[in-house]
Amino acid sequence: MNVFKLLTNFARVAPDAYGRFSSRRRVFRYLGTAGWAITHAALPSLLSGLFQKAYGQTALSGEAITVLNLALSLEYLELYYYRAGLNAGIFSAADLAAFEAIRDDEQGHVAALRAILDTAAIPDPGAAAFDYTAGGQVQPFANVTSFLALAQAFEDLGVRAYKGSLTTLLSNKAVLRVALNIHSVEARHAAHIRTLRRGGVGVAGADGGGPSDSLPTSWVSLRESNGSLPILTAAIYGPGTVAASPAEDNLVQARVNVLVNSTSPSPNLVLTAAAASEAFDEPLDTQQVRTIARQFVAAGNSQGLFITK
Amino acid sequence: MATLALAGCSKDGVNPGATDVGNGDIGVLNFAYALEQIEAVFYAKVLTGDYFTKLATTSAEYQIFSDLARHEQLHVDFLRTVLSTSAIKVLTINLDEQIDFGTGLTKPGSGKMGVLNAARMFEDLGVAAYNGAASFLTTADYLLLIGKIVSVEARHAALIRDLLVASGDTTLGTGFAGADVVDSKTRQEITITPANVLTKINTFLGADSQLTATKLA
Repeated sequence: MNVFKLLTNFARVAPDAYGRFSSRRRVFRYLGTAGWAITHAALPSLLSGLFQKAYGQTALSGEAITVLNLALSLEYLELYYYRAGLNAGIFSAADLAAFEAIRDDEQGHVAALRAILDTAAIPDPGAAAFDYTAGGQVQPFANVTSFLALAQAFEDLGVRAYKGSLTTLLSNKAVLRVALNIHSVEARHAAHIRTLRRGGVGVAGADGGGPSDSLPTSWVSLRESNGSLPILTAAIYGPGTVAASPAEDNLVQARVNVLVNSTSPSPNLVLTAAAASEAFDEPLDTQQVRTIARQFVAAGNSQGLFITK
Repeated sequence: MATLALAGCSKDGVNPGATDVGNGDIGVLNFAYALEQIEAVFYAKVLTGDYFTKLATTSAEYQIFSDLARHEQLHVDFLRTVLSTSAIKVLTINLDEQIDFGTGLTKPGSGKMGVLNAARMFEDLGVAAYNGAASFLTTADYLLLIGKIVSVEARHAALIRDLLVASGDTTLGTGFAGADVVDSKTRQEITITPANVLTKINTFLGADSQLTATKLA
């Protein structure tokens, strides 16, 4: 077994192999520490160590830990919300399976983030850390309509928050992939909740969500009339605290006005500002996400959730 | 040596006359541009078909397919502008052989079911493809752009799946996030590699428009 031939062959089928090892020289330096007289018996553990270094989890930056713990906090916010909704017994038999599936998705996301963060993860805050009435302003467990209004808010906020975390995670591909693969599931949830809110797939939505956001499309349209519960949710569709987090009615992507830039494929189809805002979801920065989410933390038992460091 | 066994891919399957989407940012954006070209052509064709043209203009499905056509046209025009001179060509796209745009509104195999099933396939594939390709990006701004688009594709996919469930499809689980697209253990989106995505979409592309993504692997 010729280790150098093996590595050369490996690099041929996995062209980025040396990139993962930082450099060809580093591979040889690593092997060199074992001495040039590598015995057959030593090879397996030697190579295994090499591949673990290259493909195993790299240390998380402080910034990555911050955005991942914020994501984890939001997952707990959602998880305990769906659990409470299911306990309240307000769902029809037809809708029950969907809410159980969403709850299980959030539980899985909690587990995934805890596994990545390991000892850096926040403690489970517990259900009592959340006040879903926002100090008595809403009663989300009174009926399905009230429940869905806040569920839409949480899901749309989650999509914006995950999107806002992506660039921080760019240097850690394994973690980035998890964030992406949770992000799109949250978007699927959001779409389903929105469909239910307008009355199902047979009911047409309205641009901008219609009056009081009572007829949301399955995608975010303009500013959603400030959301399903305007006092609590207007900021979810508004701008963040940094230029990279514009409001959801933004039409400019990469300095291109996407509406002006596009041509309708059909004379019967008019491209609108609403459609151009819908076609791109916007991220939200950590500070603004915390400010919004803090409305749903229990007074006196915050467990440190959504506190800006 | 399990790690080595996983790296057993070869270039034997590469199509010699194909266009490669490229490397890094350009590769991912061109890959996205190809997906959006197919989606945009598909929905534009839906708008002229029997299923759509017989819908009441006030109906939910009329609104949904109008929005989908708008969104994908906005995506494709935007990506072409961003890619500028690095863009791959406008692709030759053949949909009729595989997709039933025919008449009739309710029966399986009718125009409606043909359109819904094809829309579901393209939207789910788009989400899996964007998620699978995004980690090959090197520039943060482009990663954010792809993130802005992929969640919209996921919203599309969820609604189309819910529409199919409401139309009697029993194969999609809970619909919006069934186990065929969201892993039932990890509860995360199931991704598809760029090469495997292109194997699927090349069947909709003409002989002069076959694509490879050899650098996105």
